[in-house]
Amino acid sequence: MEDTYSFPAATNKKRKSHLGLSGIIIYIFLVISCILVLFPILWALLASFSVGNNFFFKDITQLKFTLDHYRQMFSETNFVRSFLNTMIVASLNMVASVVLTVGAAFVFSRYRFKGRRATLMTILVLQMFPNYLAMVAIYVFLTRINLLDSLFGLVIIYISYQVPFNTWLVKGYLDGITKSFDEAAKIDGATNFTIFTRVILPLSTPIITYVALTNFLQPCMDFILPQIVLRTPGNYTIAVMLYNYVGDPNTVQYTTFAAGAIIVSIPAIILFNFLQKYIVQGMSAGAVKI
Amino acid sequence: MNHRSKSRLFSIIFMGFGQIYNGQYFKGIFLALLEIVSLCNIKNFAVNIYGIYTLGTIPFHYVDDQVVADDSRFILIDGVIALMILFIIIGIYIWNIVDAYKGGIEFEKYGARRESLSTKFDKVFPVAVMAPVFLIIIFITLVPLISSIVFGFTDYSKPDHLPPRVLLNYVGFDNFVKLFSYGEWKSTFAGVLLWTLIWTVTTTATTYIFGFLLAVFVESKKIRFKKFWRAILILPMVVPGFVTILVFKVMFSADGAINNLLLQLFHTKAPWFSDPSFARGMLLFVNLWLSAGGTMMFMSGIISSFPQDLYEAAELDGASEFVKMKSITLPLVFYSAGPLMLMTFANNVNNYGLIQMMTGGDPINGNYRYAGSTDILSSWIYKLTMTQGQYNMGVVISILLFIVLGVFSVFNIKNTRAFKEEGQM
Repeated sequence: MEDTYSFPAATNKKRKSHLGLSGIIIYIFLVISCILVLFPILWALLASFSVGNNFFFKDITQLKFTLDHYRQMFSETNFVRSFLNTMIVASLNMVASVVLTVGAAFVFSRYRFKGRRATLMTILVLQMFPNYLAMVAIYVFLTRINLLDSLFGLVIIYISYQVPFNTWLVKGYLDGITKSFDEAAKIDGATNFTIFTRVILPLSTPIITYVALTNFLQPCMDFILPQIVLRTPGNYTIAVMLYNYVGDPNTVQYTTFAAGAIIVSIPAIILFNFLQKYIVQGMSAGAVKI
Repeated sequence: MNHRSKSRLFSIIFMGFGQIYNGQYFKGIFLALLEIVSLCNIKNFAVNIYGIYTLGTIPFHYVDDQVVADDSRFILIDGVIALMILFIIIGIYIWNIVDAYKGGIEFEKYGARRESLSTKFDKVFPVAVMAPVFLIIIFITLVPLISSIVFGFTDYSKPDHLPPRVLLNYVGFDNFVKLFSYGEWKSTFAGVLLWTLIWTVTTTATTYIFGFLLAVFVESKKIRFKKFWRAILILPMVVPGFVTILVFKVMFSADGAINNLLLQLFHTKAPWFSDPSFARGMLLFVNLWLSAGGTMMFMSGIISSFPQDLYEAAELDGASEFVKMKSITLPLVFYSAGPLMLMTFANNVNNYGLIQMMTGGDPINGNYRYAGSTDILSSWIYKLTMTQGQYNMGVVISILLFIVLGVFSVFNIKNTRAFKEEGQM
């Protein structure tokens, strides 16, 4: 983000000279906030490298460095398996969400048909339903179709949650693409399908990236739904696996957990930095409008 | 009788015949096959849909050491699925009549004509794209939703009414009455509701106040190294939420890092997980930690998009920093962030993941039934469903909560630009 308050060097110097009481208060406030923000992150980082079962800040002077906890996380727990499970669920959810919603959004945005408004309103209402409302039946429903405790069952439920919201989001974005492009293409003899693939799709890369990204990240972050659907440790996603690891007082090693937390956070941080541009674009393009 | 009416009549008599009469053989045969298949299964439809009413008739018993029983839950789901399929077929039937009539008009004008493959494809394209979305919404979103709501009007609960051991029965509004008038249910509901309100208002308010302050401070002219501050303050948004929640859980635990720090500084430990007030305070803090950074980023975006001339004009008039913030920044931010605030409010009501992960609703409260001191309504619902097996009561509370939130959301959505623009079309 650009600094909108930046001033030429001269004025800047002048301003700095009277920092004033308010300036000091602001600095104190920011420093305290940053300490609070960094506190747990620093704990996890230091704990993951320190010898022993737990880590306290008073030990900071006699910290002994070790990589054992990372090794343990990989070799002694279901970490790798859970990580793979999460990647499978996230990728499937991402692909399915994009494929399903972009086409539907195009139809809602460009076609006029009977019941269009009613359908749109239904979708809008559906995406308001909180997921706990259907919790009882999701369990029974997945048992019924023999998909309880399977990654595929989890993906199906995710998709059904994502589709209504994403359709609205993408439709909102496509409405913003001027229809004169479509008309120009139509005059050149393009069919609706060609307009979709050659005109609309290339122009909607930001929103597609945003949808893909959020639908990839959502299953990675979620804990509730996998907890309902997945039963055997071999099927756990990373969130459920770590939760159960911390929750078991007999075997838990807080330092090993910290190592797991760090490993999970690193790809998230890298991904966020790479895609920050798209997230901001997507948010301002579609989400803010809703 | 002219051609169009005839083809409509044919389609009323049997699906697809009108289309065949219009020379649209492929479509006509497809529709006719659909009707044949539906007619063959008419008995299944009847049996399944009737199942919604009976919830199964064969009680649990043994035949030659084999269990024979109707599972009321599956019978209900099957019934709802059958109902949905029936609706879809009726919808196609009605469309088929309209389509035959339209096709008849075309036929009168141009006669039977062969459309090129690409024109046909172009007509099928929107249907093909929409069909999977519709099917998913109907079968995977709506079917569980409707079945769930029906469960709220049955006696589906542990320990005595658990299929397939017993058949479920409809109990009307008894569960609602129970929630509002039975001793323990009533007091639990009242207590949890109160904490839900406090939780929602406090979390929304603290997040917004801190997010706003941080945004104003970081964007302030007096502050240098803006990028540095921003990068740190945004970290809670970047690190996966469940990771931080678990880290906090470990740090706040009885022998965790925080108690250890307190022990050194003040020679005392705090009962973070066993005292209700401490547990609630901890949850509020963790929630603030998780969401203040995102709010800050959002508000920074708003603030930096403000026209600078407003501030310059105020400066010329001799306004102080405080006056500028109070009279320009604050009203403008709250005008832009208003709708999002309503959304945050609803999200906080539904934010049971945090509570479930941190405390699981504990510490235990002696006056409550099936709930702990830190349970909000949504985490209570989760608990009732996932661990306590009070499925019917879980649904009843969900329905009540949804009605409240639904009114709220409708109000919210009606004011959004997306809705208004759609309304003009």
